[in-house]
Amino acid sequence: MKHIKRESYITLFLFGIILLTVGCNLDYDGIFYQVSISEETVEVGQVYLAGIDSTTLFAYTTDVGMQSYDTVSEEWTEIDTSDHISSNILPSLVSSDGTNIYFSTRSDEGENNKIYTFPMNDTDNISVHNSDYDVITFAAPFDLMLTKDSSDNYYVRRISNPATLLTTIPSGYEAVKLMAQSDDIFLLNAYTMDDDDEKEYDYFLCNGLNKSTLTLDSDEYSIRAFYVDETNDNIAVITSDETVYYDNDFDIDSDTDFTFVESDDTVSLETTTVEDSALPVITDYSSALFYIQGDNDYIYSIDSSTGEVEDVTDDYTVSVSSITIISYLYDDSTSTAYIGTIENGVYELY
Amino acid sequence: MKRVLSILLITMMALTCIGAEDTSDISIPNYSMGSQIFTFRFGPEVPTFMYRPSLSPTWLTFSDTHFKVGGYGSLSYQGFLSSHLAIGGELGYLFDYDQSELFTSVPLLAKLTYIPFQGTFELPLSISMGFAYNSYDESSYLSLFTSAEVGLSYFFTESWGFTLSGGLQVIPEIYFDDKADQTTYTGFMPITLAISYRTN
Repeated sequence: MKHIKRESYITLFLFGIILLTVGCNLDYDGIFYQVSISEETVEVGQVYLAGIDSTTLFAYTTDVGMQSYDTVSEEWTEIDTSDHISSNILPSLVSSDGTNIYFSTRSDEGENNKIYTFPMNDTDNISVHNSDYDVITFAAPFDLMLTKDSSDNYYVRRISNPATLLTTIPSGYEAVKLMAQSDDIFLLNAYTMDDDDEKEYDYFLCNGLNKSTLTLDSDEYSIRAFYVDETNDNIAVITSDETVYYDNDFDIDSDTDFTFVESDDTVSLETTTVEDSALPVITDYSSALFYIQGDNDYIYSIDSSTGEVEDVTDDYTVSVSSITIISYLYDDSTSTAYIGTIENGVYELY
Repeated sequence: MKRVLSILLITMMALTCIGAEDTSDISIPNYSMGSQIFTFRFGPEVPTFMYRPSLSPTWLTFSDTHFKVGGYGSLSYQGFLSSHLAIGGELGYLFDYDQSELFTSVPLLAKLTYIPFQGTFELPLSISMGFAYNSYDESSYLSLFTSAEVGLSYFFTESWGFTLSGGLQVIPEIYFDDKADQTTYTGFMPITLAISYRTN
């Protein structure tokens, strides 16, 4: 009888240990809490926001293609591009200049892309805009694109007027990436391989024709997000190793080089197969703060003047931790922030 | 839901008719210690409530839980301790979709059943308790799992029978410290049709 009692205690003890270790679910929100705030799937796929005209958003959606979205009626309308293109539009090749939408498909290595366009107020009027450049990427929703020539020199141009050259990255770099905050402020990062076959990144911040070189403590990692607070002369960047760097004495109008300070805080980022992919930066461009969706879909605020990071997930009326943000568009005319998501359509964030 | 219930009842009635010709040979068993019963069952699962002591609203019911109708299936074995009381175990599988993701729970339960009326028709009353491995999206959680059910059985041969049962299953998901406010008790209502085999 004593034996049975002892075995019962051991079984209960082991069960308790299992409950405590496995039952904790430390890394994520509670399961039923997640369910209770879950958002309905919208059958359009991933939403890449490209532009806005009054109350109509324009986006490339992976399940349907080019679409418009009425922010009042919350209805999607497909924009038929089938008479013009035979292959899929690339999500990275969709953008706008505030009046027109531009899009393109994948081109073979070294071949030029055919860029199509239509006015946002006349979606049936699709035409070929330009086919003179090998386009690497657009920087939606801004009027910027990265092109490459046959000698592997990289150029940033206006999509609306490709002859307008903003900056050049000489050959020798690999994986040049373009991220933008406006039609004028954009960041390029690219790497070369050092003697030990390790990546060595260079970072260039441009304001129109001005170009500054940014120096971080480490050059091993790519920048995944940046934000320039033009009002207060702050800048912050987040690298792929989750480090936050900042400079609160930054002059966007200067073309001198800037050395950053490493923040004591880090941002926990979602593990992704595309570890260098650019993150949507959520901001209204009016303060030192900007926001990033990180691990577990939590939203973090980053103070570009101090480098401080704070979890602000619960500050939003939208259940942001139950959706994954893939694109961002701020409508300055109405001070409205829109997010495109992986599987839940479009939300008005604030 | 009405349609599902109707289908279950019609199925049960149809099966009752199939077995009807043998009923004259049925000898009504009285269970005794050592009698055994094996059961396989399945059916729809209705999300009933979420009770969140620290969140507002505290109670969410039915579709407000964001769960849709799912399902529950299980295998169980019970041995009789006396003529009316059986004890055993049940291994189940519960699934339910929310707006986009799948929630699953695999409970392993100790089950106690009291059968006050016995014979061709029986009325089993069961309570179960154990633990369940719950999964949702990238999260997992090992929880307690409790259940209370009532059924109506019809044995169309001496050994084989069907049971239509319903009840309430509760999964407590309890957290402390930073996540204490996410503590949630969730209830599901399974409505299952079972096939049972019994030996004396």
